Amino acid sequence: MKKSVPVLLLLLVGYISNLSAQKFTISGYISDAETGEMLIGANAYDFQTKGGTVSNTYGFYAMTLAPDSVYLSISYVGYQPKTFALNLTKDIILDIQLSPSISLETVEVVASATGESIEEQTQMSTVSIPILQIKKLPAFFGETDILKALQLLPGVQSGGEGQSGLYVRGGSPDQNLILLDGVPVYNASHLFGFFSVFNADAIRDVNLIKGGFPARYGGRLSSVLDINMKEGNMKEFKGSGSIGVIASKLTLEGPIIKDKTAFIVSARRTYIDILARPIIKAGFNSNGGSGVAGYYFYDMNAKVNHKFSEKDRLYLSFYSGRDKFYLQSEDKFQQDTYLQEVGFGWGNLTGAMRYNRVWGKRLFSNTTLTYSKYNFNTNAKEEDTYQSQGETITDGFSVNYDSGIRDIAAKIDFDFVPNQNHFIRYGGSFINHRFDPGTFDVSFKDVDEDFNALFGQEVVDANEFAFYAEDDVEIGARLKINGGLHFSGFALQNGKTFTSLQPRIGLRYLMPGQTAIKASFATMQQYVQFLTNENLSLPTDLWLPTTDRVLPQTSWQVALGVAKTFRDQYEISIETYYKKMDNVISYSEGASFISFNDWQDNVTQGEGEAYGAEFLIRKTQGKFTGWIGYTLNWTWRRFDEINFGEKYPYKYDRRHDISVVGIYDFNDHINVSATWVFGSGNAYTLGEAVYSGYFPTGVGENSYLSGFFTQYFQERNNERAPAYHRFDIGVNFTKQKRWWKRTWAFGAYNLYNRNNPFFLYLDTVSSGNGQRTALKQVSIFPVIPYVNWSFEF
Amino acid sequence: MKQLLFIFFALFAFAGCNGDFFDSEIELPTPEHDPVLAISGFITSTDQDFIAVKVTRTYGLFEERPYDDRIFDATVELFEDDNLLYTFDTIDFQEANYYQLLQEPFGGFGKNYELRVSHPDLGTATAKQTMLQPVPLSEITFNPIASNDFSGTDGEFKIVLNDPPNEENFYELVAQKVCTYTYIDYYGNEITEEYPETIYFDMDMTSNPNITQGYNYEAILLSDKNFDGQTFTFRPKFYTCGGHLDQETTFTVYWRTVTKDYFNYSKSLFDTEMAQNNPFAEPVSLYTNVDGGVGGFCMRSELVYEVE
Repeated sequence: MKKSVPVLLLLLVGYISNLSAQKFTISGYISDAETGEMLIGANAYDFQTKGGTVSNTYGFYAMTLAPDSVYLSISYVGYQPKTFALNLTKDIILDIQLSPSISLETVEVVASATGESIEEQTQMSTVSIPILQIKKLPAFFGETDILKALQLLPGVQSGGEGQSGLYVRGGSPDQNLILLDGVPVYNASHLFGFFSVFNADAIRDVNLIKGGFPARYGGRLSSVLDINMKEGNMKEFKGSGSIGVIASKLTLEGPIIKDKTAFIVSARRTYIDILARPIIKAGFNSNGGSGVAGYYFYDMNAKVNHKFSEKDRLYLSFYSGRDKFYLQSEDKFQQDTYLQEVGFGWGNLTGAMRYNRVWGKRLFSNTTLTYSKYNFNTNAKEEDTYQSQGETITDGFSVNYDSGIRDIAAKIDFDFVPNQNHFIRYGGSFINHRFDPGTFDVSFKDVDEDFNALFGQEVVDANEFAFYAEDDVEIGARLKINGGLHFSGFALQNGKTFTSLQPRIGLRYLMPGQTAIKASFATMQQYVQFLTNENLSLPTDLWLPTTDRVLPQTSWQVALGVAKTFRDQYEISIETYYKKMDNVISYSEGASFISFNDWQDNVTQGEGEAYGAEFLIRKTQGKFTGWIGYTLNWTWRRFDEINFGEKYPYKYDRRHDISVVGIYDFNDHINVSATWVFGSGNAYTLGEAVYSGYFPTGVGENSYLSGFFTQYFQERNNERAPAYHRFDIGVNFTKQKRWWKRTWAFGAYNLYNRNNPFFLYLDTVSSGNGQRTALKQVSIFPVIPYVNWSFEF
Repeated sequence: MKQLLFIFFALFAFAGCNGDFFDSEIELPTPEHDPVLAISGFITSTDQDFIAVKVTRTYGLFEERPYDDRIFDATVELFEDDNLLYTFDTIDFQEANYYQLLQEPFGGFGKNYELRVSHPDLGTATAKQTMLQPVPLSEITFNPIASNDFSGTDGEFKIVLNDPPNEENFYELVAQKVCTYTYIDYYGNEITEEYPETIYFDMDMTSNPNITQGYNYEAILLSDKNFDGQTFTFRPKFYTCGGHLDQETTFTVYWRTVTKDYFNYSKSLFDTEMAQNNPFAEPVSLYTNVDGGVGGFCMRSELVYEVE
C-alpha cells in the first residue's frame, strides 16, 4: 500500500503534464448576436485535428491544440455557423457571436440542446426540446408547459390525467432533481399537479438526463432536469406577453448597460378568482351575509447578469411562485356576527447568485450561492361576536399549520480543458437542509379563558455535501469516454453521517457509417425522502430527511444504446436500460397521509426495479418536424411489509407508452401542431372478492368470534386501469405588425373526447330490488378548446 | 381564418353544453370471480368448552351476497398428527356454524393439526397449525398511575419475559379487572354489583416498536423480532372502567403464545378494517393460511395470571 501511493502520484503528475504540454488554447464565450444570450452546447470544431468541444452552461468554450494552423468552425442549431482560420502560436481569446438563421428550413431545428449530433455525444439517456418548439405544441388550457412537453419523450411518463409530474424510467417524481438555474425546486406543480411552475417565457433551455448521469450531478435516483432561465437581452429592450383562458403573462428584458448588464423579469398569474369574484360575492349576499372566495396561482422570475470583464460575470436570479385558496365569510344574525376564514397556500421561493470566472485560458469556474424554500400553510378561523349582559363578547378558535423545507447551499464547479481530447470537470457543494415536518398553532378563545398551544413535529436540520470529478476523454477518432466519481454525504443532527462513493461512466464508440454505440453505468444516492400518496400532487406532501430508521435511497443503472443521424435531419436512437433501486420509500399497508403518528411509523422501505427499451425517431429540420417515441417498460417494487414481501408491479408500471408529435410550418405566419399519446393503464389494487373475516375477541367464557365483510386480493396492484390516449391539436397565427408581432393560438386538448381515467372507485348502485357494488371511472378532462393571444415587441 | 374561428367557438359551445363537463363517470366491466371456501377457526389451549369454526364462501366484489352467508353442507374435520381427531357438527350460531364439544382443555402442545373443510361445489380447503408450548412470564406486576398523567391512563403492568432464542415468537396480552357498579334500587337500597371487564391498553406504538394492534381491540400483539432470545421488559399502560385504581385491585391476565399465522391474520384483519374506513389509506394484503380457500385457522396457548 505504501509503495503504491508514490506510484499513483507519479502517474497522476504524468497524466496532468501530458494533458497540457506544448499546446495553446483558444477560449471565449459563444453568444447570440441579437440578444447577447449565451449559447449552451454550441459546437466548436477544428477541421485540422478533427477534434472539437461544446460550450458549457454559461456559453464558455476552450480548445487546447498543438501549435499549428487551425481551421475552426463554430456552429449551433438554428444559427448561421462561422469559420475562422488561425495560426496558433499563443493562447487566444475568441468571443463569438452567432446570428440566428433566416431561412425557415434551418431555423426549424429540433435537435438536442447541445450542438453536437446525437452520435457525437458521449452522454446518453438525455432528452431535450427547444423552448421555441415547446411553445408551438398544443397546450393544456393554452398554458405552455415544459414538464408536459417532456412527457412526450420516451422514458418519461406522466402520473395521470393532466398531471405534470415526471416518472422517469420507473422512478417516482421525488427522485427527479429539478434545478432552476442550479437551485433545487421542491414542488414543481401548481393546482395539484395540473400545471408546472415553470413559465416558458422566462426559460432559455431545458435538459433532462434519465440515466448515465455525469459525476457532477447527484442527490436523486432517477433523473436530473436542468432548467436555465433566460439571461436578459444585452442589446435592446424587448417584451412579450400573452392573455389566455386561465392565465396571463408578461415578460420584459433589456440592457441596463448595453453589452454589460441585462435584466429579465417575467410574471404569470391566473385570474379565475378575479373573474368569478362578482358571482361569488353575489352568492354570499343572497344568503344574507358577505364574503369572498377564490383560487389563484402566480409565478415571478427575475434575473440580472453583469459582465465585469471578459473574465468575470455575475448572475442574480430569483423565482417566486405560489398557489393560494381563500374563503372569508361573515354572517349576521341580529346582534351576533359570525366570521369564518379558511385558506391554504403553498409555493417555492428560490434565489441564486452565480459568479463565473475564467482563470487563464483553460480553466473556468462557477461559484454559486443558492436559497430554496418550499412551504405549505393552511389556516382556519372562526369567530362569534355577540352581546351578553351589555358586554361585547368574542368566542372563537384559529388553527394554523405550517410545513416545508428550506435549503441554503454553496457550490463551486470548475471546467478545465487541457486539450481537445479532455474536458475535465470537478467541484464540490454543501447544502444545509431544514425540514419542517409540520407544526400546528391552535388557539381558542371564550368568555372564561384563552388557550394557545403550539404542537407538532420538530424542525430537523441536516447537512449534505458532495465532491466530484469527471473527464470527457476522446481516445482516437471513435471512442469517447466520460468517467467520474461522485462522493456525497449527509450529516444528521445526532452526529450520524451517511456517505457514498458513486462511480459513473459513459462511453460512445463510433462505428463505421457514423453509427454510435453508447453504454453507461451510474450509481446514485438520495438523502431527502418524499412522503406522498402517489395519486395526486398534494401540497401536503412532505419532504423529510434520511434518519436512523429511514435510510438513504440508492440506485444503480446500466444502459446500452445506438444512435444515428440520417440525411442530416433524421435522428434515430434506441436505448435499453436496467435500473435497481434500494431503500425506496412507501407508505405502509393501511397507512395514509392523514395521520398524527410519527411519519417514520407510517413508512416502509424496500426495493425497486425497472427495465425496458426506448425508441425515438425524430425529424429535426424542414417545414415538418416532430418525432415518434415508444417506451417498453417494466417496473416493480418489493417491500418486506407490503404484499407479504412479494414483488408487485409499481403503480406506474406501464408496458407501452407511445407519443407522436408533429409540427408543420406553412410559412412564417402559420404553423399547425398535433400530438397523440397512448399509455397502458396504471396498475391499481382491486379487491377480488369479499368474505366474512372473523377473529376471536374477549376472554374465557366471554370469548366469541367477531368480524366483518372484508375485501381481499391476492396481489397488490392486481388490476389495470383502462389505457390512456388522447389527441391534441394546435394552430398558431402570427402576424408581424410595424412595431410588434402578435400570435393567436387556438387548439383543443383531447380532441376526440376520450374518457381517460382520473381515478377509479367503488360505488353502490341500485340493481333490481337490491343494490350491488359497481366499479366506476371518473374522467375530468373532456375535449377542452383553448385560445391564447400573445405578443412580442 | 373566419371558418377556423367559427369551428373553434362551435366546439367550445358544444363542449360547454355538457352538464358534467369536467366530471364524467362511466361504469367499467368487472372481473369474474370463482368462489372458494372461507374459514374462520381458532383454538385456545385452555379455556374453551368447545371449538367453533365458521365456514362461509367468497363472493365476487360485484356480486350480490346474502345476509347469511354460512354454509351448512360442508364436512369439517380436525386432524392431529395426521390422524382424524374430530368431525364437527353443525350449529346455528351466527358467529360459527360448526362445533366440537370438549371434555377438557384442548392442550395439544407441540402437536400438529390440520383443519380440513370439504364442500361438494367449492372444493377442499385446508390449513395447518402447531399448538405451541406457552412461554411463561418471568414477572408481572401492577402499578397505578397518578391521575394527572398526561396520557390519561389509569395503570400499567410491568412484564418481564425470557424469550426463547433462535425462533420467531409471537405473543398476545389481554387482561380483565373486576369493576363495581353501585346504584339505588326501587326500595332505596344501595346495591353494589361486580362484573369482570376487559381493560384497554394504550396502543402508543411510537414508544414501543415491539407492540402492534391486532383485530382483537382489547389485546396487545407482540413480535420478538427485535428481542429474540433476550430478557424483554415492557410496561403497557391501560385504561379501566373505574378510572381510579388502588393496590387492592385484582387483574386476571391472559398471556398467550400465538402462532405466526395468528399474529399475521389478526394484524392484517385489523389493518384491512381500518383501511376500508379510510379512502386515502394504502391497500392492505389480507393474510390467509388456508390452502384452497381464504381465512384463518390459528392456535394460541394460554397462561393465566392473577395480579394484585
